[in-house]
Amino acid sequence: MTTTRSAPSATVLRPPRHRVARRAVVWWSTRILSGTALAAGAPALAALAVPALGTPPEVLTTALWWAAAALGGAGLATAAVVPQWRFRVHRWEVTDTAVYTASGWLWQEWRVAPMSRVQTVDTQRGPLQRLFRLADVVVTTASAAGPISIKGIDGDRARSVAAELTEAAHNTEGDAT
Amino acid sequence: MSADDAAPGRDAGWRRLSPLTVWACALALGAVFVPGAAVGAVVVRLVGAPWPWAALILLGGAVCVAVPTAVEALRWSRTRYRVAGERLEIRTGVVATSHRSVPRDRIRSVDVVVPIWMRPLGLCGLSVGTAEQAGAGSTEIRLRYTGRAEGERLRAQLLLRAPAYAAGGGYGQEDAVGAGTARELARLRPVWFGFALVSGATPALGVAAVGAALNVLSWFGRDRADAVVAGVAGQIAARPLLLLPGVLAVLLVGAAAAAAVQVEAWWGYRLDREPDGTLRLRRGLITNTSLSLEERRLRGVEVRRPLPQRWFGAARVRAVATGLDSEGGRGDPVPRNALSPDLPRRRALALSAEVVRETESPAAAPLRPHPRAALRRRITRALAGTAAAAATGAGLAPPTQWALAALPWLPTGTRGFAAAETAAVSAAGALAGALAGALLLVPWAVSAYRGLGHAVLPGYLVTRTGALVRTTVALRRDGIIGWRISRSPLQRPAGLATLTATTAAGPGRYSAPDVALGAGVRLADEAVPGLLAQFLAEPAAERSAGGGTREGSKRGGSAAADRGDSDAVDGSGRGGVSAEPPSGR
Repeated sequence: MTTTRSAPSATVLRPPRHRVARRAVVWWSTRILSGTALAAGAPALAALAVPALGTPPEVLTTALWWAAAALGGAGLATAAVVPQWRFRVHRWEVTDTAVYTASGWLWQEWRVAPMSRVQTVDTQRGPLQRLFRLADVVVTTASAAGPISIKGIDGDRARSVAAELTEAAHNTEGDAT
Repeated sequence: MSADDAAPGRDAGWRRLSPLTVWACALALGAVFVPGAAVGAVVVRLVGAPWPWAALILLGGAVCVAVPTAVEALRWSRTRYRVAGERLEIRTGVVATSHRSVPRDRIRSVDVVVPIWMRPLGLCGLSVGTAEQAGAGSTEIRLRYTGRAEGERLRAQLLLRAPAYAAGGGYGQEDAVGAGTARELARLRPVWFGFALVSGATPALGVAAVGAALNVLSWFGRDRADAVVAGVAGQIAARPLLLLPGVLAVLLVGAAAAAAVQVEAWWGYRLDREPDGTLRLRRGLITNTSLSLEERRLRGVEVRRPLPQRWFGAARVRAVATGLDSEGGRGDPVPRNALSPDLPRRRALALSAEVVRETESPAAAPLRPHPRAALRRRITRALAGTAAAAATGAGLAPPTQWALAALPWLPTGTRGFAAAETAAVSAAGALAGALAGALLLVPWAVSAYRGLGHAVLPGYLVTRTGALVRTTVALRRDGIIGWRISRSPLQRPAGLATLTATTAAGPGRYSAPDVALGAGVRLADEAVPGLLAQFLAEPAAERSAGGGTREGSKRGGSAAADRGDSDAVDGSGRGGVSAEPPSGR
């Protein structure tokens, strides 16, 4: 036992120091809204197209409109709530010795990886992310448990963080296992 | 890399697999298809079909042998390998060629497999386990097949440690390397096969044997098989006591089959520590398997106690090593990281201590139990399962009644059931489901809770989980390459969390489920000192000091960027893990 702490309540992980970029909220909202537009648009289009092709039963058109409305409503509600929530819970921090991230709303998750065990560092930018000048940083270790990713931070920031991490990983001896 | 390996002319060139591989393929196919085609031709001729038909069958047989043999010959001619410098290189592929090059220090294990039909030809197959986890695809390289001597040479050469690397590696015990001869850690005692008789596979194999017998019976006509089944069922319905010897016979057959499987897999079992710093496992009756595992790849040891055998005091040892997952090879019932068959528990613990070079097994250390809330969670799950079983029972009862009513004869004692009201039948079904669920699930819940435990030893993090297979994992603390702490919505009100240590070895993660949150964080901090400490919310003075470190760090560029779109958060902010128990508890 290398460290001992007397009071159990004293041991608390503080949240990582940085939030993701403010613009990530817009990015997430755009993503959810475009998904919503597709999901709700399909039944709406069908509801418009079916009467033009024949004489469908009244129930069918009504049902299609209802489906479109329900999907659209659910999508709008998600777009209103989820990005804000994500912005509140997604945090990250890179210190000289470790990468630390927190994520998850219902299923919370905190991950820590020592810098000395980082194997590869990638930045990823989707088309939508490029539009908002955002990027993901994906940090892999030798574990099969999956990479640690920091999603939706500023593009330039991501590049500098990745460069920093790459340098640290490069300095590590051995194969970081 | 030793001098003669580096010498030009020895390993500079590419090598081929053994040409006997092609002959072996032709022989194996010929053994199946030549007699088959001959018999087919004779039968066709006897039935009275014209000659061309028989000739066609013979031709088909010849094609079935020739085409795969040609493909195999092509594969053989296109496959080359070499150990050059610090890399193992393999070129293969007929249509799409591939060139794979693996640094030798990424090679974790080498399996030498000798199937029985390869034994007279003097061939063996090699499987090379590598540490490439990130990339997609197989982490295993197969060489099928090389000569026995060549296989042994490759095994030794691939695992031979380069002196420069060994000096830098942090895991091996350097002093023990290179001196002395192989030391035997374990050797088979046939009495251990007794544990196979009481394994969970016994009833399953017994039932499978009955199924296979029925299948054979149905070759002689479905009617005959059905008649036999009906006859047996009628006998049992008339004299239920007959069931007892019947079940006993099925169990005996199953036990014999289970023992046979274990004997095939573990006959000749030996575990040695080789002088070159590898653990060498040898086993197998029909297919001889030899697995070499570098000790510096070892990140710990695992002791498993599966349920039926646990009652008889059995345990088995597995390695926690990089490049070795728990999946078995093709058609091999033994996982690749297995280091022993079922042993008496005391022996298994002694072996686990030997494997990691400790005097006392870390897997035998006393463990801290998990909070009672973890038991409540499991009981809740069991009760939910019981409710589901009751609902299923209620749902299944009426169709069962209907099926019974449609049978031509009724087993004794079911007449009342078949004639009862649907509502009563549903209620009976629900009751049966609830009883079965409660009888199975509540003991499971208690056993699962009692299985939970964790401890931090000087060199190891020990976690224990599992009701059916109670698994104790002793993971070397220097093999932990990260932490994950997670909480589900149901764990949160109970103040619990799941602590997962990620590692390069085995499945990549080992968890301590349902620890008290504060205890989990403390455990992680204890196990890997200095990593988590900087993220712990300490009293205010220390916290501000921590903030200062960040600002004062050398990374001025990113610190400047920090001000743009992020804000410093203090320890009491949202998103942190708080260990305070919820109010009212």
